[in-house]
Amino acid sequence: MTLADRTTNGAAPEALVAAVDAESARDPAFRGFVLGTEQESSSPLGFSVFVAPDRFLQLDDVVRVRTRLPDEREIDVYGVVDEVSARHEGVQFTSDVSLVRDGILPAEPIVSAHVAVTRVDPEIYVPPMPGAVVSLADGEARGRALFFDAMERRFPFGLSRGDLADVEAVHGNLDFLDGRKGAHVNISGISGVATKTSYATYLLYSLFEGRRLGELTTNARALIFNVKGEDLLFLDRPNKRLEEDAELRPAYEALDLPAGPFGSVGFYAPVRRGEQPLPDTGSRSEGVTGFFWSLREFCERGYLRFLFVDADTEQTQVAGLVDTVASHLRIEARKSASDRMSIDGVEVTTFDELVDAIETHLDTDPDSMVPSWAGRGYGQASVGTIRAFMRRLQAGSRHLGHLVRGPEYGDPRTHRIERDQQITVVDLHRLHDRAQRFVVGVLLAELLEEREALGAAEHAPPVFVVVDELNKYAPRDGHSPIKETLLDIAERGRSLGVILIGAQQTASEVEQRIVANASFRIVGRLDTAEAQRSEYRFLGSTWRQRATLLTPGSMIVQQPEIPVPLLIRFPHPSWATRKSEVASGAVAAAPGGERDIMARFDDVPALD
Amino acid sequence: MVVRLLPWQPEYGSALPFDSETAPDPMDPVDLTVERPVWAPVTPDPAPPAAVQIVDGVRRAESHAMDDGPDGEPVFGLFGSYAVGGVRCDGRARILEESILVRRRYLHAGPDALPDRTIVSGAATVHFEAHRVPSATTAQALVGALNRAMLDEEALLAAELSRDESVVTLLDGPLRPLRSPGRRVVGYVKRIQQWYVSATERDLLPTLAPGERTPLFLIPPGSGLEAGHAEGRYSWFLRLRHLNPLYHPLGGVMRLETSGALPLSEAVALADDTTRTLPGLSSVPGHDPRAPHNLVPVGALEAALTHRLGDRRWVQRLLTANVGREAHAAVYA
Repeated sequence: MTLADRTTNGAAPEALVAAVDAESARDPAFRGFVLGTEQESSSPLGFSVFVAPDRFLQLDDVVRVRTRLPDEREIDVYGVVDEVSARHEGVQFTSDVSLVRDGILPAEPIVSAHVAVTRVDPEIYVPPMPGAVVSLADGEARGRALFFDAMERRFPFGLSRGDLADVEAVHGNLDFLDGRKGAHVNISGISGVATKTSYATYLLYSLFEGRRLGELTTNARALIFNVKGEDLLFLDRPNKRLEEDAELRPAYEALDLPAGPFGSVGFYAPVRRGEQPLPDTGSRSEGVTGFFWSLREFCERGYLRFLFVDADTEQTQVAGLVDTVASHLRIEARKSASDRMSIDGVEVTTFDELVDAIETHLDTDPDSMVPSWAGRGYGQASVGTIRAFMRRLQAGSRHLGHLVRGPEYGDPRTHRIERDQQITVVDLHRLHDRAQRFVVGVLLAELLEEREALGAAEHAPPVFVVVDELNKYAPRDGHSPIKETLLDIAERGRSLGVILIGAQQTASEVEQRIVANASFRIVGRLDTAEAQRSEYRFLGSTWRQRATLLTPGSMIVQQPEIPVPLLIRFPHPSWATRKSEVASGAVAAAPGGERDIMARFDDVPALD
Repeated sequence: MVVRLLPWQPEYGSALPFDSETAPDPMDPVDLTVERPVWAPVTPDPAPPAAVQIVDGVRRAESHAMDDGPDGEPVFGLFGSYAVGGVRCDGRARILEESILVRRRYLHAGPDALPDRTIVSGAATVHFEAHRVPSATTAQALVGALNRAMLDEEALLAAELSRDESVVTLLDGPLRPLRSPGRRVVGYVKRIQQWYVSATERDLLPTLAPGERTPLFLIPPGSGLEAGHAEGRYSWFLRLRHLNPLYHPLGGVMRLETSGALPLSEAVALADDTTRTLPGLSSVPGHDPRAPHNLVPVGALEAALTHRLGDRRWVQRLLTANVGREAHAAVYA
């Protein structure tokens, strides 16, 4: 008997399996076989793959298994590789590895991968049979695995990981973004590394410049606050990296996006202190409109409440006093001549005068000649409450008094944030924290009021609002007017066409209902401790660990239709994020034409 | 008196002769001077380890059975499986998959031949070939017959593999007469049943270091447990590894042998090759229950062969279902 004559009689040896299916082995997409061991059994929601020795699977690869039912129907099971492991099969002891290397212990390195199932088509949830052939899914099959075929309207989240030659776009379902089926995006991650603002800006770019909103693109709007550095003040300028980085344009092509700046951007900055209503910006002042509110608007619309935005205000007596004073101011405003503001018939022209007038009306001296706004009898505010109120009012006055002005200091209509361009950038980075909150609170409330007044039109052009540092505006504990506004947007924004793109370092510090209402949850690099918080449970343990390793430009995306998170990369901005990035010789494509945005550029530090 | 341990796990017995159940056969004296006039340690010239291939087998009794004989007398039977195969270490260690053979037997002591048993389950077919073992009077004798069948298969494979004379072919146990073997075949004796040398010569064994061996000695034909070599057998002892002092120094010694038909120089070369190679392949107490004698590649081969027998519970389940169906049919017909 020769060796070749020997046959086996018993269980099929695994070493022979790879050679058995020669037809599969010739298929370039072939990767291996479904495993069925005691430890690694196959289930309809996840299974392991024995990776053929001459192939490999890596994390995030999309695979397909065709499995056959007893009635001959074929089921396609799709999934994403979420774990890959290699080992010397059968090796027991730690030191055995050197015995294998020395040629003493026979053991073969084998690789197995775990696949999280994304889709079963048709929906018959049977486990892929052990031994079934596993293939890499690309092109159309990959699209099916990730439900891209079910997305009638979609936008590119970014690119799959890998070499530029074989990356593919990862799509999101627009119906879940613009309010038709869902709305809102929430982004978490460490500042500086997680590139939250860059990613939010990229999303706006793909929607507006990629015209993914279809016929709504032209009339859709976005409001974005520049809170750190000046990285959003050059959105309308091309990035010189487009010329220097040979891979940047192809990356945008792979996403089916143009590579360039935003086409329609309005820049707003608060006015400086002083009489002239000039915008207070650093490296860019031309092309930037200074904004402020008139005293009359302030009183008539009750913006006083946005001066009292500390989370604890709502629970104290102060909140009641704020409401009372605000309603008195509203009454006084209605009694005043148009666009002017008088109290008791005396015109008020500066914020300081308004503060003085309010203080006079809070005098609790019964002999005072001025009508008291502090109430009477049991309802009267205590001296302590009044003092607390005045302390905060004066602090507010110090930091943002210059943003609320009388008519002598400029026509408020030409210094209003208009949102007439597609993207409205409001620069807050030189404002004190208290003033930042005031501006954000007022703008969000204005926006919400405006959309409510319009009524709920079916498929109205949406307004996207990008708010970073949600933990500041909508902290988990306590109440504040801004938090109420943001909650309102989170809960009703979908029907009003107001879409919140919120971001924060730590989702665990943000009001849960705001995070929970986001259809898309996006995670950049996370702090190790933060990644263990329950807010990220949707990621599962593998992805939580990966979130602590993400590099700038990589994000983990969870969207409603796909049961597993996906890792995406988004390209470096094709618009400038600082003065030094502005492509030389680029001509101002400034909206409105006559604005000279190239004047007075200084270099600015890089921020996320 | 200092008490020291022997390295094998007790359920495997020990590697030394006092463990033998049978008294050594009376034997002719061995020739201690066939290689050297002086009985002293031999250190081979330094050289790289030799390429070796090792043949081994495993067996497993699946189930005892009892059949009704023609005269109504019960007939003992045994369902058993065995597998043999080879492992090769030539810089890289690998199991010779193509050499692996799995056999299953239904051994019985009945006077008449019984039919084979073929059990089909899904894609797998398990075939138990029926064989008469008329000499068997106990169930243990049937297990012994299964063991002999495995050893015969090992000898066949060793003869087959030994045609490749670029490597040393090692066979577990005393060298059995092989049909048309190659010239580089060595038997290694894990469990020494017979010393062949007197107590005086044995005093040398504890002093051997790894990489040293005793001189060759010639065992005359017709001696010992494994007779059948017309020219006798060359044999030598070597030390596999230094063990912790808690173990008795004899615990790391192994006896090897090769055909006495070889020219002495070839036998010496084989002895030197094994002395240079086997210490590196020996196992460590704690890792293998029969360390250091059960060589590392052999341990892996045995695991692979056992694996190829199929899951024990699975085979028993097949047998139960198959035999059970017949039994039910017979009872309820």
